[in-house]
Amino acid sequence: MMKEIIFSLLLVAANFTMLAQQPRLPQTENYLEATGNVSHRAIGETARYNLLGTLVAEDARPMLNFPDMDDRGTREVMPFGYKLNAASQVKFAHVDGNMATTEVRRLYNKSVFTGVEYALCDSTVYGITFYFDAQDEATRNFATAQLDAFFGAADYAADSLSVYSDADYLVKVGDGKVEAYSLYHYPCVEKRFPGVQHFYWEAPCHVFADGVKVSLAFYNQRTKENNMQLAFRLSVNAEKLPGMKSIKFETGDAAYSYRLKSDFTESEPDGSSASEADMRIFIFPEDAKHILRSPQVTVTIEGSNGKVVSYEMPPFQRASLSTAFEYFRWNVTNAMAKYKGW
Amino acid sequence: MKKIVSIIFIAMVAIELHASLMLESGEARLEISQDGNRVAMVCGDDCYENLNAPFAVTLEVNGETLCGNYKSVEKTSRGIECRSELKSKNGSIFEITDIYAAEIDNHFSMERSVGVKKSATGDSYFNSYFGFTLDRKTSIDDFEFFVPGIWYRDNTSLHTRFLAGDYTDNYFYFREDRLPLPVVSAMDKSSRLAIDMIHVDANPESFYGEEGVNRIVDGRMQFGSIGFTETDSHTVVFAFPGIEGEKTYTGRFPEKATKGFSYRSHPVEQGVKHSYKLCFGFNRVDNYPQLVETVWKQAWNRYTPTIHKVDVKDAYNASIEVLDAYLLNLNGAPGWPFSIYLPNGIARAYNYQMGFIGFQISNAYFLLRNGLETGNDDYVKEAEEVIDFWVENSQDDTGLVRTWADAYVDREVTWRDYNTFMRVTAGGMEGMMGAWSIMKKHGHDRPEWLRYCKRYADWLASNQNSDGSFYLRYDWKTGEPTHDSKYTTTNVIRFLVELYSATGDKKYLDTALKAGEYSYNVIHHDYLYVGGVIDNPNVKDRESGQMAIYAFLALYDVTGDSKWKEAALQAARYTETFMFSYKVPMLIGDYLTDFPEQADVVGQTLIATGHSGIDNGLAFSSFQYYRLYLMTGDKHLLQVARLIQNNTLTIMDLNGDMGYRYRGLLTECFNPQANRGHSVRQQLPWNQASILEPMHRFMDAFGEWDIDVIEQWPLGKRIEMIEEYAKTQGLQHE
Repeated sequence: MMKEIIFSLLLVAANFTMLAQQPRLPQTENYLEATGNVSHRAIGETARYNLLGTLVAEDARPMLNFPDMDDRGTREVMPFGYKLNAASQVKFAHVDGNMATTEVRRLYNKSVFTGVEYALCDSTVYGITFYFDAQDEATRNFATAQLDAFFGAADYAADSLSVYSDADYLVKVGDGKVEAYSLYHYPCVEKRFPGVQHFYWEAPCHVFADGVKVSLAFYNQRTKENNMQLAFRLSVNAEKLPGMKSIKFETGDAAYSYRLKSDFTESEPDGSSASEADMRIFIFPEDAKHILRSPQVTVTIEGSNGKVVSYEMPPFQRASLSTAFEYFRWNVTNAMAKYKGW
Repeated sequence: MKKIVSIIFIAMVAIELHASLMLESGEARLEISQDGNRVAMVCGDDCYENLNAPFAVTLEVNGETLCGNYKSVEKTSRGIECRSELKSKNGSIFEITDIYAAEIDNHFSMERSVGVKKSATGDSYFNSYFGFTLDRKTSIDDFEFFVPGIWYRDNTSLHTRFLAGDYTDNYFYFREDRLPLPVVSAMDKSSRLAIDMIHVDANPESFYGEEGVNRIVDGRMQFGSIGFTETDSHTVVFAFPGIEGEKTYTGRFPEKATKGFSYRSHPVEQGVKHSYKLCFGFNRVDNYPQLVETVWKQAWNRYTPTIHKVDVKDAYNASIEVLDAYLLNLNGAPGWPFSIYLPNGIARAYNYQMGFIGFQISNAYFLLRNGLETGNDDYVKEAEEVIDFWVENSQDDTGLVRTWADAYVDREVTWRDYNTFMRVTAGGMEGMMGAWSIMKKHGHDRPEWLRYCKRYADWLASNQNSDGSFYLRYDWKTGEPTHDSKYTTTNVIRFLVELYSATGDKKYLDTALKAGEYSYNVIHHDYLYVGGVIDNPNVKDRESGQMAIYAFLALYDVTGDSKWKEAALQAARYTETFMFSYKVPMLIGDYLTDFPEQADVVGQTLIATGHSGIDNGLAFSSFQYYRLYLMTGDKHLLQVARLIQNNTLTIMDLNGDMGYRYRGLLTECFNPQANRGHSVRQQLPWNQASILEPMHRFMDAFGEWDIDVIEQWPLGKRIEMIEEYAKTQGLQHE
């Protein structure tokens, strides 16, 4: 009887979960070993370097001094474009690949500033920051007065920040520091995507107007067979998402309007502000040229509920456009020349 | 006695437990055992069991197979619902629900969802598989295969590095985002019974950066791969997410290996979306072409691709604007730039190829015709200069032509050593016929233009091989062939028929018919549409299908012999399977595509086997598909024609959104799989011709170019018009 019970139990078809190593063709194991490693590739690899500096003769190294101010300390500093070498005795506070910032160095000549710090890319100075006591209103006033005289006027002021720029410089006066950049030496940001290169000409500054923060950077897109295009990217930060629709550049005699789309949107967790970005809007080179000819350019961004912001394009944004246009001109294939590489 | 009763009782229980639930469709049935360890599909003498039998469910976790059975199998209102729970060796628990249902015509469906109930440490990624294995020993050579755009019949004219090209491979898994429809089929050569599998409601999402062969683990990937395993057994299989191998175009294998897999998996995380619906079953067919037509239509009807209506007239006007804008005469060598950068529209180089991708003569014909019809004398003069340039400079005393010239700002034109391809001359000569005819129609006789065509046709007749074929290409300096492929014989047939229609000279008809017989016996009979894309290796491609359609249709027009009609139809059925007929969405996170937001890949076509590049090249053939619809009454062909006519135009910039210099510009070639929507960012002259050429044929036949307008006319009127067109090919007589 027991045998029948055991036999019957054995005969019962029970469903249960099994672990099983299903026989697999041998080459599958080899393939797994060869290509089965998990990949965590990043897209849009970024590099920063002084691209414009590489386009001139190697021993030329154009340099630019800090804007002329009635302060001896600002005259002793390393100029923009100065390249450190093995004999340099500069200590670094931060190093990140080919980017570095020095420690705050003393000034040897009479100065209202307490020290100076340099920003470098590939050992080449592109940024100079003078420090002062943030409570020292007299020094701040001195600095802004000097910069007003040099630049004519600030591009804008927002909270404690005053921004000045022209074709050569971007200068920001903030809490306890005067930060200056050479727009020629500022590192080009190169972004590499599969089959696409972007060269961004941007200065580390937004435009603040009507409570809206605007970041506008012009760039060159290069793709195969020397296809060079002009484009710009736009990011808008406001209390609420504007639902970007269009951007318009108005010169005295023409208006160039471009449709916008939202490639990215982001909101602060506390709802204090939100951002939208359109990462690529193409612009024809002749339109860029015409805009650059105009002494004044009004930028207007329209959203789904009407105008978001309107402002006069500051020099540092014009410099971005100008550099992108010039870079395009230096690299574009002539319309009628035979392309040698074909 | 008691023992006997017990044994009988136990046996009955055992039988009961092994009994199956069944679904039936036509002559096929699907059986699922109650104990959950067997799923079988039977049709006639063929029985297919579940992949990895005796286990009903197969996953792969961290690269190791995890199999099991259904723990419950029950009939519900939705079909047969089967559930399983599998536990990995690290302790992750996967819940699988498969719902089987009967479909029509020997087909069934299976809707699967896999949930991660518990994610254990050490388990990072997983895939699921579904498929069926034939329950007898087979060889890959027992079958003929159909995978759209990739595998037609066997691996003839496929390189071993191509997908499906190497019959020493055992796994043939194809990512569905490179397939025009996510369907595969294989026909047993002896029984003519074919099995197929379709991924229904596929939405092959992925993200920017998903490329290369190394395993990528990401829940955003929602594409599968579909294909076969061929060892000494035959399996049709679906993998999710889509692992591709033993060949792939997603990247190179390490250490220059020639085989491998490109791995894609989902993370072992709760909440990951892992579900799909498959339809699979059988077709009994008479032959391979019927298999392609049947399976393709079955899949098509699942997706019913959307037509994006375009203002055809606006597209025409925008195209003429482009031709006008870019035509230059450089030191007596007039023509259009070989390519134009997009979006800024700067011309890259001025060199001229007569046909194929250059289309210089045809573009001149289109501009000429517009000038004559609108009274624009500048267009007429400029276009005449282009035609005269070719007539006066490209042909030697034998009648053979050189086909590629370089123009310079500072010197005279030079001619490249580039061989004379049948494909190139076909486009050029047809353009010349059109130009001659339209001039004659408007009272301007240009006999030298027709003579140019005659002299070339005379050369063809004198150099035609005894079997009726022509070689792929010839050295224009010596007249000698430089390649032994004869598959592009079809390419010049329509030109010869057009020349016969215009001149009445039977010599050209005879040459065409001889070439047609060769093409029928070799290309049509062997289902080998090869070599038409002459800047690709000599492989199966879409353009050879198009050239075959034109050739056979022209021969049908001039002879009325139904065999040419059947041959044209077969070529058309083949060619349309290269056309994307379901939406492959742009990649998540990619703001750099060159694809208009309002467009999708539907209507764009794979160019050739060996890669997954797509273009709008089927735009050339909307007229032929419409004709075939009128000839057969097959409404499917009408849908194809409308899709081609409209969707291929959506990559123009007619609404200005793309920021192209001119609205009529369009980019030459896209990628639908890796870097979806990224293109070569250049326009070539053939792109404009692809828009304009069919429009002119519609105008010649119907006096109207929009199919949707023509379709409103009585059928009898339309057929009468097309028959009238067929008599003359829309051309004047000498």
